Amino acid sequence: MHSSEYQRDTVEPILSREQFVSISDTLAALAGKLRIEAMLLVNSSGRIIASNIKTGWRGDMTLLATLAASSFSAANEMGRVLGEREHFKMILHEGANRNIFVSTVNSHYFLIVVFEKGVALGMVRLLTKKTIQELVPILKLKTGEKYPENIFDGRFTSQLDDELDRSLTEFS
Amino acid sequence: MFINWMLQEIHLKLVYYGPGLSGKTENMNYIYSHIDPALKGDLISLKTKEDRTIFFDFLQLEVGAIDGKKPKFNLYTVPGQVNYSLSRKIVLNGVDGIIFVADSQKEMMNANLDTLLDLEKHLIADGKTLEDFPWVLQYNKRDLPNIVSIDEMNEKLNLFGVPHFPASAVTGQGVFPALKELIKQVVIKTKQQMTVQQEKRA
Ligand SMILES: Nc1nc2c(ncn2[C@@H]2O[C@H](COP(=O)(O)OP(=O)(O)OP(=O)(O)O)[C@@H](O)[C@H]2O)c(=O)[nH]1
Ligand SMILES: [Mg+2]
Repeated sequence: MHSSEYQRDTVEPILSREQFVSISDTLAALAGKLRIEAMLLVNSSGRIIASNIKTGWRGDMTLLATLAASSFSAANEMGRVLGEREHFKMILHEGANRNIFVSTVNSHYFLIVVFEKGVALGMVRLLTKKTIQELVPILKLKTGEKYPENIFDGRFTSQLDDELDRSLTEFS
Repeated sequence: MFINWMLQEIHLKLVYYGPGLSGKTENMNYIYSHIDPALKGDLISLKTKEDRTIFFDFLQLEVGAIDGKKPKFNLYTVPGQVNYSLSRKIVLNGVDGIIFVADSQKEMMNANLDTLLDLEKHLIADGKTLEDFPWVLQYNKRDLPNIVSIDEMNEKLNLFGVPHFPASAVTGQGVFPALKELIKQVVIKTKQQMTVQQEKRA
């Protein structure tokens, strides 16, 4: 077994603590201006980078992010089928009581905004666009952050093995 | 792999791949209904009225924290039907490891091989290969009559000598063992990659 060079990108770009903090601040600023229920910054495979949730909101963020990521990918594939060259900029799901607005940040990330029917879509689009303009440079910052050498050191892997043996089995 | 340093979470994306009706969704159902409820999220299934997967099934599992880091496993299935190639491509985005669910029934051998080649095609488009990528083979439906021997299945499908598991997603045989082994394989490969990265930097 050997690991080949082209697989190195499997590990996604790392965001530093400072980037996380700036991202959270940016989302909080938007939440202060708009009556939103939930806002998630998600990567293209559906993992949540940062979130801002109205107190008491009871949705499942993981599922929301997973489904939004896949429906966004599906929309992009639809675009490709129709000969579109660019990714879709945004998609909107209209529900009876709330809307879900998903927009591209850059090729790695997108932003999900869940808001009540009463909130004007135009306002959401306008302010979201502004937020994205702020997020783009933050996400681009080269931080020189490295994976700690020892993230999967011998101790970690042997503990993980024990944990897997304990957990991934029939529950009684 | 995705690491959220703020939350100290390590996420792995693991995908069940295989021909239509081989039992990918059934694997997920078995895990969902037999694992410690405290470790699982909701199971979502995007499927047709006839219970065929149209996009994917998804289930997140988490095990106890290790040194303060929380491992989370995002399990997906793909739709096996030939027409849904585009959906498979989308689900494979960011995949860390694959459980290939082969159907042990004699008449399914061609479908197994075709689907394995379909997987390799998707991997190559993404700069990966079956030879280097972490994956395991699950020989499913061992509870049925009219099945091919394990030796023969290995000969036909196990081109790179990956770990293989006789299984039945209905009885649960080989379901947790295959998942566990896949996670171990992913960790081993990721460790190798990180070493390579570090040597490059140095
Ligand atoms: N006897 C037996 N039946 C199985 C086994 N695994 C799956 N099945 C049955 O086979 C049928 C298809 O299983 P699914 O899990 O839905 O198949 P799938 O691979 O998800 O199929 P697609 O979603 O179309 O790709 C169901 O009726 C299952 O109950 C097994 O190990 N033994
Ligand atoms: Mg299925």
